[in-house]
Amino acid sequence: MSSSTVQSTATTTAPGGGGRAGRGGHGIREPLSWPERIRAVVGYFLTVYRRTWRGSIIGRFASPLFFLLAMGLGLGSLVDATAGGVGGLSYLHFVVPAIVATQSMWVAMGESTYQVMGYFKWNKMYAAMLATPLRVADILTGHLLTVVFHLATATTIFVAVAAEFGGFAGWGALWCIPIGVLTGLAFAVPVFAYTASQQTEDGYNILFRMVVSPLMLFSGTFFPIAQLPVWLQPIAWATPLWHGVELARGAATGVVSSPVAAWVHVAALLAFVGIGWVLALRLFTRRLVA
Amino acid sequence: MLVSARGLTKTFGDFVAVDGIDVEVRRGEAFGFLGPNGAGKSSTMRMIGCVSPATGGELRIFGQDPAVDGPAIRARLGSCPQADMLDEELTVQENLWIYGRYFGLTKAQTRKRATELLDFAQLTDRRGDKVEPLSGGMKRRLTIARSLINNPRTAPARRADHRPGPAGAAHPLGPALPAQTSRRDPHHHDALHG
Repeated sequence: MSSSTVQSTATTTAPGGGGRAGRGGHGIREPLSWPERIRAVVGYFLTVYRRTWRGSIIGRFASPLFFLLAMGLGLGSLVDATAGGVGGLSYLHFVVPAIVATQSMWVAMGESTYQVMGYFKWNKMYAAMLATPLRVADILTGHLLTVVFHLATATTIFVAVAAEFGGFAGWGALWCIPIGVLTGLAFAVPVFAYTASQQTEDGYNILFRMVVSPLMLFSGTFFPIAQLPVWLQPIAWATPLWHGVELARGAATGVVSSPVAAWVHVAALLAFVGIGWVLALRLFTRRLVA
Repeated sequence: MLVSARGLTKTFGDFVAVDGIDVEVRRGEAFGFLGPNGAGKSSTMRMIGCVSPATGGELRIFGQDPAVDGPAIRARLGSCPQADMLDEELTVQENLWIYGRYFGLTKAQTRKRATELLDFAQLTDRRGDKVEPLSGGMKRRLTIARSLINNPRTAPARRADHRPGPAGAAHPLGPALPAQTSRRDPHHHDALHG
């Protein structure tokens, strides 16, 4: 742009009120602390949730009921009658903790695909936030904390409903709640990064059909991965869902192969969260600060 | 000095969007960038708004460097973007309340300021309505009102659809408002249009 296109119009306003203190005033403002910034971001997402929670809460209660009906009464009675359960457990007790983890994956996917794309593209709320003192890391942290809240709500409801209908053998089931949240985050954070890298929502078709659905089927949710061909098993190890399923099942049933294995699962899930965070921060920054 | 730029440059790959401009804006000025499409007005305004880093040259807002003090500068700016960027599923006043919190205003400060700005933008009677069904002009007024929530030192606005003129001289929102109205922004500000 050449300077000849620059035009200054007449002065219309006098200097402002000056000495008024605080962040509402004209002067230099005290910077926001990081908890303040993150609280402001979370505040936005909770305002959105206040408008939409009724719709989502019905689904949160309905989905465990559907699973219990299909797996417990339907498939479960068949498995128990013909095979005597799985590894000494009734099929219901085998499958329900795993479904908690699987359900977390689905909730996480719902919160990190179209939702996130919408804040980039459709209502541009991320960009609106960046015109304020907020930074990319605040936005990412605030939004992910909201996802944690959704995961915790969904998992708690699922566990409570499933427990009410005899889906668990004991109090170890309570561990399924934090395990479910961690499993969900192991999906949400990398998928936040993926979404930031996508200009359109076309990629989600592949993500859901080629990643999420196969994972649900082949991560030991409905049958132990030992039933799979040997060459397929390493794929399960490389995905977050299998680690979440194994952890949740071990915690709920008390049947754990070794404490070391449990920590390996936790470490694997944390690695997905950590690597996902680094990628997400980089890709969010690249997309929003151009 | 509110804005000073020397040799300000913005490139996207090989494409040069802003090619070394020098500009100075002083306190009390209403300043506008005019130019044909693709001249680099928006890119310049995004750099001044500290949402886009300069590729070259020197830029100071309130004497501060956006590359170092971006958040502190943005705390004092009232940025009115080209696109409205409103959450249309929320109400008019919720859009203001949320925004005030981003600047660290207390809940009470935000609500008070929102009430003043809704009056200023003549949206008081629509405050509890969702944004989505509002007319384009009303949404624009809400976006302008929102950009003033932090009582900014300088208000950069892209799109000169509310420039002061004879018809709009009585009201800072000018032609963005229905005719024959005269209300003053409770806290005047310096305006920068691009």
